[in-house]
Amino acid sequence: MDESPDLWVMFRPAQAFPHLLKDPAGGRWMALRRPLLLILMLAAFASLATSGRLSLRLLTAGAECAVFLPPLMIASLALLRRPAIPFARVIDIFFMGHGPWTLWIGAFASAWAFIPADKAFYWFQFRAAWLVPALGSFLWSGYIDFWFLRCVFRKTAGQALRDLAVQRTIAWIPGLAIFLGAGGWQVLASRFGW
Amino acid sequence: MSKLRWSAWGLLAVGIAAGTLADTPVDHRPLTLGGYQVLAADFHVHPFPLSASTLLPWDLIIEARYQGLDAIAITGHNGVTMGRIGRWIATHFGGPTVLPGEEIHGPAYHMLAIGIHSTISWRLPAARAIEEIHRQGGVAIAAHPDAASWPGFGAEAMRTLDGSEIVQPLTFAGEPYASAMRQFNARGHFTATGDSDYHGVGPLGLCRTYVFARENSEPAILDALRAGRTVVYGPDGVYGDPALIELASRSGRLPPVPQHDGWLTLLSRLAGIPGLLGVAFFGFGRAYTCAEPPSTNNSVPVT
Repeated sequence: MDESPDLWVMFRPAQAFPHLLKDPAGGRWMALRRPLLLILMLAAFASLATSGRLSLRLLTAGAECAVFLPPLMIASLALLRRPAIPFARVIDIFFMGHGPWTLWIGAFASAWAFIPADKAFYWFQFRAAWLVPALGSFLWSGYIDFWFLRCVFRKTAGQALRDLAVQRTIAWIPGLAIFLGAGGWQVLASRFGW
Repeated sequence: MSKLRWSAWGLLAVGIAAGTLADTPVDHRPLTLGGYQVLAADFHVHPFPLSASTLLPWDLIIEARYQGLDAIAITGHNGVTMGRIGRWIATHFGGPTVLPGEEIHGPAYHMLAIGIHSTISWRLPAARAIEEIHRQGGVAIAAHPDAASWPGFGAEAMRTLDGSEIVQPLTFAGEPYASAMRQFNARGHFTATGDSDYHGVGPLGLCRTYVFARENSEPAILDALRAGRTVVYGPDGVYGDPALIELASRSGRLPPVPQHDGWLTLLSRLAGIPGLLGVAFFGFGRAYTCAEPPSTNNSVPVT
């Protein structure tokens, strides 16, 4: 797996993270490259799902919408980070943990790209087909980030679980609010009688 | 750099190059029939942010032009701000006509408020929401009225509603949905619309409404919607004003929904998707290998 640290982290995070910490590389590019990759993945999803292809125009348009996510994640890390580790390295290693989401986005975008839209909308109604894998990605990436906190931030299991919850809250709730907005609020408000 | 890494970046570059070459606007010429301008419109388009979509208002306008649309309504979930931004951009920088709107996204019903200027609360009953839409000079269209949402539209709402979606992506989910939207439309003799309910998946304008308007402007489009001057093509029929359907049928000139499955698009998918995944997993090279991996037991604090 040393051909791909990302796959190593994905499948054996408890072994991969301590090893990756020994990498002496650093610098601005290291802090930027995987956050930029996340933006590229989300932009590619937007382009493929809308038009069935990757065009510079729609990649740019998708990137405009995705650009807020990495800063949210980095902010959540900044609040948890262990000061002794260079932050660029922390960012790079943390963003390696997005492998499960990369697979889900790749599969979902491929479905919309290859299946004619009318057929895709037919299958789209079977929500379990895409929500269950999304839940799987959520749990799998949580498991990876748990080991990230254990190995990189040297947290105990309890601390790692707590910090994982804090990190997800800081990064995901504003992210979902920006994405879903008032429609999401209405669903919550109606369900809980607010 | 390993072969794998080179291949991934190369495939991605080919995919993007092919997709960019294929990305050209639809050849779309103005069409006049029976003294009306025939406008291809999509009245249910969600923007980013705040509406579970993936394109900002200015990118929606560009995408609408690429899809051969003459007009769109940008309908945020329970908010009209993005629609107003879209209209300002289209007015100042050109593009299809943008009507500001809102999808009133409530627990009992979903309704498009087209041509309004301030947000209407989702807590209002349907009849009150329609009243407020009309007070603002807009048009009220029931959004994807499947059987579950019928009770949300009471007798008064059914009397004052202007239109209903008769073809939209829900149509493709199965005959019960398609049939419910047709029956709802027939109950009130509403203006028929076809909309893509664009959320970033599927093409913008996949389902569209042909509006027979005096000119391509917001007031003229709203007038046409109030007067029921629309034609909508669905997978199982044509809907709208019978005289205009006949006129459109005789002319045979209404532009079809554009298809995007040329060989460049196919190449973009076939090269781009594996390239993208390759870059994600192999794009930044191998793991550092100067030291043996330390054992996990020594590197993790004991709970």
